[in-house]
Amino acid sequence: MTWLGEWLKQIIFVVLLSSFIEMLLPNRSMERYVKMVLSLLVLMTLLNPILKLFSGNPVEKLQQAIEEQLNPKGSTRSGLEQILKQGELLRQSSLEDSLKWTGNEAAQQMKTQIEAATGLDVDRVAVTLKLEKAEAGTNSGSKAGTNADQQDADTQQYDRPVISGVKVYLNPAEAEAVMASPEEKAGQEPDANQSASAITVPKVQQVQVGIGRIEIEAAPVAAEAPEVTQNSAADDPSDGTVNGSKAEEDESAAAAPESEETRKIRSLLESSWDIEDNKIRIYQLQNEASP
Amino acid sequence: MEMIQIVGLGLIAAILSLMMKEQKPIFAFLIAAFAGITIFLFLIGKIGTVLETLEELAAASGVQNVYLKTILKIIGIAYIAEFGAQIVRDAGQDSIASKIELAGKVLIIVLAVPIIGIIIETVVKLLPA
Repeated sequence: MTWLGEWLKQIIFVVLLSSFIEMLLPNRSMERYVKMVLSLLVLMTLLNPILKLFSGNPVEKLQQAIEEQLNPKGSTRSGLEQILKQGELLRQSSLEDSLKWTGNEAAQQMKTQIEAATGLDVDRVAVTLKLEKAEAGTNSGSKAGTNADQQDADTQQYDRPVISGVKVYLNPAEAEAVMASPEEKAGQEPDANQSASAITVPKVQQVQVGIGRIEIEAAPVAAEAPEVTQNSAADDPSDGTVNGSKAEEDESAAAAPESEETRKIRSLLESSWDIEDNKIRIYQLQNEASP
Repeated sequence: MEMIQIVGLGLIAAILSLMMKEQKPIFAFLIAAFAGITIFLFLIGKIGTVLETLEELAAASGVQNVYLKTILKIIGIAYIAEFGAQIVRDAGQDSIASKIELAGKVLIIVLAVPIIGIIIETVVKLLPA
């Protein structure tokens, strides 16, 4: 019954107010017009419960219409918001594009550098970029490519792309040729055999690399946010550029054993690209033909 | 006390404008307009308190703010149109005064348009199609 009381209160108030205003009116010439509007208002108040039944909120609609009539600036405000939103979308897409391009370029350069320095045949280099927030600079930094983090990034003034992971894939034939000692060769073959049983392990590592910026182990949320990963894709352009497709590669790629070459690659990347050691992963591609 | 002030102002303005009418009619008009505007501004402060009370009452009785706003706008338009029309009529320009009144009427009706729209919409919905 509360709505009935409210309704009655509204009617009484509107009727009182309108009679008061008719008294206030300066002269007769305006009276007819004012009376019409006032009686319409009383009618609206009477109809209010029925209006509520039929359309969502008539009062809001009326308010909107009146506001629009009285100050047309209100309508431009929504247009401005729309334009701002579009601009934001454009900015995001260009940001993604530039991140992709940066990743590609960095991967290409790393590949040539590693090949020149070590003489190994590098199949490809995958560089994972992410945006680091200017203020926070913590693990919660945004990841390129996902929408949620773009909204995060919106609140920041300056975001800085940071290399959060590097994966180096070595070609098997060359690698074996370079490895001079038969012991190492022999030491590698068990690895190759193990790779079949150890498929799941590199998978986990790779996912962890995706997010763990400093502490790889402390990143259980890794699976939630895949990063954009760029391959140099020199030999194998069909390879996945996103972590999700890495599962296939794991069948043919196992983590390369620590050796002179991998250490060299690590130190090279560390010195020339300033990438922390734990962000670098080196994989040995398994050759189908090899025993 | 304020009433006496206003009446005094009005009387002085009337006498001055009567005296001026012989020599310079334009100054007589200016004096009348000035007196009118002064009284109008004098009253604006008083009206403010009345409107605040009305708004409080409306909020207490649960009336939507839109209704009160519409009603107040109607009074405002009526008074301003009337005031301007009278000043112009004093200057002897009856046709311009009636145009001002027309503008006031039209603006009042414009305020009613959204209300009419909503009422008609509801009626149409009520009727079986």
